[in-house]
Amino acid sequence: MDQEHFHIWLQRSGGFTGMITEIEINSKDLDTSEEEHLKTMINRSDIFNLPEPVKNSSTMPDQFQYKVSIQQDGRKRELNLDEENVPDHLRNLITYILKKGRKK
Amino acid sequence: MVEKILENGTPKQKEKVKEYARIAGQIRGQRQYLSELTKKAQAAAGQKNRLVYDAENGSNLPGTLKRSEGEAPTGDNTIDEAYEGTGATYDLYSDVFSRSSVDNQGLDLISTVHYLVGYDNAFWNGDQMVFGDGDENLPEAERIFNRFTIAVDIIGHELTHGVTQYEANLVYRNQSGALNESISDVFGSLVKQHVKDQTADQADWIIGAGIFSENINAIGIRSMKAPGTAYDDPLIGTDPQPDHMSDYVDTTSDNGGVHINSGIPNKAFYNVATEIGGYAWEKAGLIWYKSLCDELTQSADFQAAANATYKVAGDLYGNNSTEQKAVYNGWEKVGIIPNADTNTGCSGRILRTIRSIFGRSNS
Repeated sequence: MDQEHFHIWLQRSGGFTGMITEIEINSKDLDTSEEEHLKTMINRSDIFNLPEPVKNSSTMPDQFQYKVSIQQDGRKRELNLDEENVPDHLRNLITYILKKGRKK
Repeated sequence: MVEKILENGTPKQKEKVKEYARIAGQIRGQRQYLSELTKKAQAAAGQKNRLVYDAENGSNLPGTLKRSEGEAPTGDNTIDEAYEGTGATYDLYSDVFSRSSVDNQGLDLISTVHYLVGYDNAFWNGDQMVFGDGDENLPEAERIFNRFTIAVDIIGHELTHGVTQYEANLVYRNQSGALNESISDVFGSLVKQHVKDQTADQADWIIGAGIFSENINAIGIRSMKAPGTAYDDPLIGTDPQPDHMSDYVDTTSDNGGVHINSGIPNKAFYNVATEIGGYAWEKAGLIWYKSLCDELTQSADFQAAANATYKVAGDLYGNNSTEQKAVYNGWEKVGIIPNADTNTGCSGRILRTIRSIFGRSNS
């Protein structure tokens, strides 16, 4: 069971406001249903298999920038993404984490 | 690298590369579509043509057209604020700087509002503005942000990203990116001052007043007059903007702190405008505008901006004029000494020569 624990760190920066939001989630702190839900979202995001995002030569002003780091099953993945380059399933995960972070 | 993955990658990697390409293609497609659309529907130069679309909480751009130039208010605050704000921005550029819209060729002013749900942002995508509703979908007690059309300077800020794109095209990273941001704040604030008919000493120099809900201890997103003082709240933290080079923030977030270090050139502009006095758009604004159009290059840093504005102030008002001295003092107070000899460097001169050959004129 231990090996299935995960750790998420998300930073959103940029946007018109330029405000930086950082959220950390450790699966050990979650109740079972929340842990399972996030596990499913991590799997769907397929973050461990995503190729390095292509950095656009011209960044859209005031877009959000994301740094996301996930550790799970002895694996670790870190990604830096412009808002426009976030694949749909990873976007769902990011949105969920941001919402969850806000509730605290 | 993409080609290599498509050639040698695992099926999963190939699939993911294609997914990225699809998303990028979609956005490029939207840009292409908009470019074609604007070419077809372009109003004649010298006339403003505002088009406000509704994304209806989705992400497809531009969305459904809800208000075109000359049409009556819709009753939807967001749509009507976008319409009025883009008009006010057009008017500042037209009336004060004789500029015909974002590209100086009458580009349609396209806005999309109600973008996604709970979207705490506004941005310029290269062709149009996009505005989120903030937290207006949440109960009032839970809101941090109001809608992003609420302050006219936000609209001016976003449209000015377009102007910068067509002029110096400052690279959106590190100091050139912070300069890009600062220029959007400068002209965003000037739009507000122009609408309110305020002189430099009457203006509040706040960017995004009203964007925070009443639950937050804030006067806005940024203060050009006193960077670092716009908000201080347990929920969102403290305004991180420096007002002097000695406090410049080195970071990899936010494209190298473009929204943080913009406090330094913002304060410089405020210093210059208040020292000159009167309406800030008349002299300080003109100096900044001409620097953006004729002097600054893509990679310009704060020093290059100080040099360029100092040179332009001399060109417009004479060397050692009170205006040029104000520019010198304004930058010196934030820790940057303008240097008239180097100004924007060799590349700037080459660019100006190329522009003059092709007859580019922005004044």
